[in-house]
Amino acid sequence: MIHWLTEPFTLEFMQRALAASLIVGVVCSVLGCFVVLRAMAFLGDALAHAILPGVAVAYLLGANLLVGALVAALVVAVGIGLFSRRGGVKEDTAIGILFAAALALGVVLISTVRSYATDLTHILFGNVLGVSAGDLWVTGALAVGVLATVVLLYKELLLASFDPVLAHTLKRRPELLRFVMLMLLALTVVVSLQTVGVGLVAAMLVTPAATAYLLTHRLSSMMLVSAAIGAACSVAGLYLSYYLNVASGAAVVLTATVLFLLTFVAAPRRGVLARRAAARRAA
Amino acid sequence: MSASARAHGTSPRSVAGVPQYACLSLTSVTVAYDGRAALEQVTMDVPHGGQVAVVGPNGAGKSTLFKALVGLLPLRGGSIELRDRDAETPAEPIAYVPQREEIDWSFPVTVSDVVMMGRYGRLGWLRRPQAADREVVERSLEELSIADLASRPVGDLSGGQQQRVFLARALAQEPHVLLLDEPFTGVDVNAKEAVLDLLERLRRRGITVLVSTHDMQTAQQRFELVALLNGRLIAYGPPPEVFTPEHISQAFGGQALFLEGMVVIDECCPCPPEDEHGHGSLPGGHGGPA
Repeated sequence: MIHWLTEPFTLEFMQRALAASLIVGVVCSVLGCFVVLRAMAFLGDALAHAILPGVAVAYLLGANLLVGALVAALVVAVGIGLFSRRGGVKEDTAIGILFAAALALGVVLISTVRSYATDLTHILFGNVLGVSAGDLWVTGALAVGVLATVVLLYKELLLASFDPVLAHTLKRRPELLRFVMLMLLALTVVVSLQTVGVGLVAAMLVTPAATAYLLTHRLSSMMLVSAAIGAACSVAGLYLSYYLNVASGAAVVLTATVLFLLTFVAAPRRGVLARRAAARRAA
Repeated sequence: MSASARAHGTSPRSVAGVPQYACLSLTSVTVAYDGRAALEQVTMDVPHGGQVAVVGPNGAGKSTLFKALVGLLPLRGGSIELRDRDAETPAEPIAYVPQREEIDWSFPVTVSDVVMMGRYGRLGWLRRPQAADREVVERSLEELSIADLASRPVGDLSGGQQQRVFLARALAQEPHVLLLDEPFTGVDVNAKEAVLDLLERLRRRGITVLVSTHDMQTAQQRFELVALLNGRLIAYGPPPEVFTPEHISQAFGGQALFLEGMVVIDECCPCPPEDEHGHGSLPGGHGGPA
């Protein structure tokens, strides 16, 4: 059994894959709490797709893909913020426009390269086994930055998420906090690029956080539980990927989905079964 | 126009029988909402420690007035001036308690988390709450008799309890002026009495309170001042001066009926749909003696 558990990680690239998966699992799950509570899932998905042109340009220029993705994500986050400011269009409309445009631009750019199909697959679905030591450092540094910001601004982010009106009357600048939130989301998407890829990052943002939501009743505990779930799913997904020889990003997401479904049914207070039982008692 | 031009209390707007210096002065306040003027030319002075019921039909601009007072809506014209009794201005002199349905009650926060938010304005960015803040939170919870609920998630509470949480939060802000938006809507009689008791205690502490309500009877019986709104300020003063047939029909038009000296407002229920927890009953009629 021990051997079964340790065997995959005797290989160096698997160790890097494990480290990257854990980092991504934790960061996505923590930030995902805000995504779930503020109903920003569409935004997270859009940001993920919108970084495609950045990656493509970096690829064409031979630059670091993460840097390209980061620039694109920040540009799109700012763009959404600007388009949906007062008097503009509604935010989901702004997101829809920018998201589709960026995705199309990304596909156009990537299709100019010959190895189009493989590269696109890696970007869309991640390639955690190909994480280099340099990538790992960038990923780690970004993750520490995102988590530190969440910890430092916890009080402000909690206030702006729960009651933007009070945040405004207390001069806590909810629109600034919203922008900070967008930036953090963009960084998180970039961090996730290599492990779960553009196509599946939304799941990593939403699924562990939604599971934690069903199990907790405080934002701080929701974040901790969510982080634990994200980390556990990342590790479990890697094992599945190794032993069943399936795509790792998809395996991580499916593990998280199964866990969510189980929780949705059996959570102590908010699960389907518990609510049915409570309804029966009340009747 | 600055209100300092008329600082010495000869204003024709001051209400007889109350001190001449005003705590809250509104001068020709005009507020637009979605491009349409929701409130026009509202001019009124509220004395220190005064308690005002703000009444009027749906869409009369009651919530708009409150949102303008806390700076959530920009003024299109006029000015709002807040004078403190003591010269030093606290961190946030006005506390606003929104209508209950404006809050996402499924959010994972506990009662004491929510009340602690009232302290955030006094805490700097990045600063954690201190022992003194926790003390204020505790006192506020006790004041509203909800100390035993401190660690409960807000989503588990009844409508009346949720309202007390928000009142406790407003107290934790230690405001000079308290704005309550429809505190009697969607709560039961006990919760309503609890709010009125609190107002009585606040009166003794000299805290100025504005309460918007559809409950004419409460406005008439329990408040020293009433402001009758319908897009503009129709009447402002002690209840007997405000609740005249003429003023009422100006505010409510054909909706108002006079039956044996009683005003009956015939409008569809302004209350929100029952909340998902099924708590709380709605207050009865919206009528009251004229």
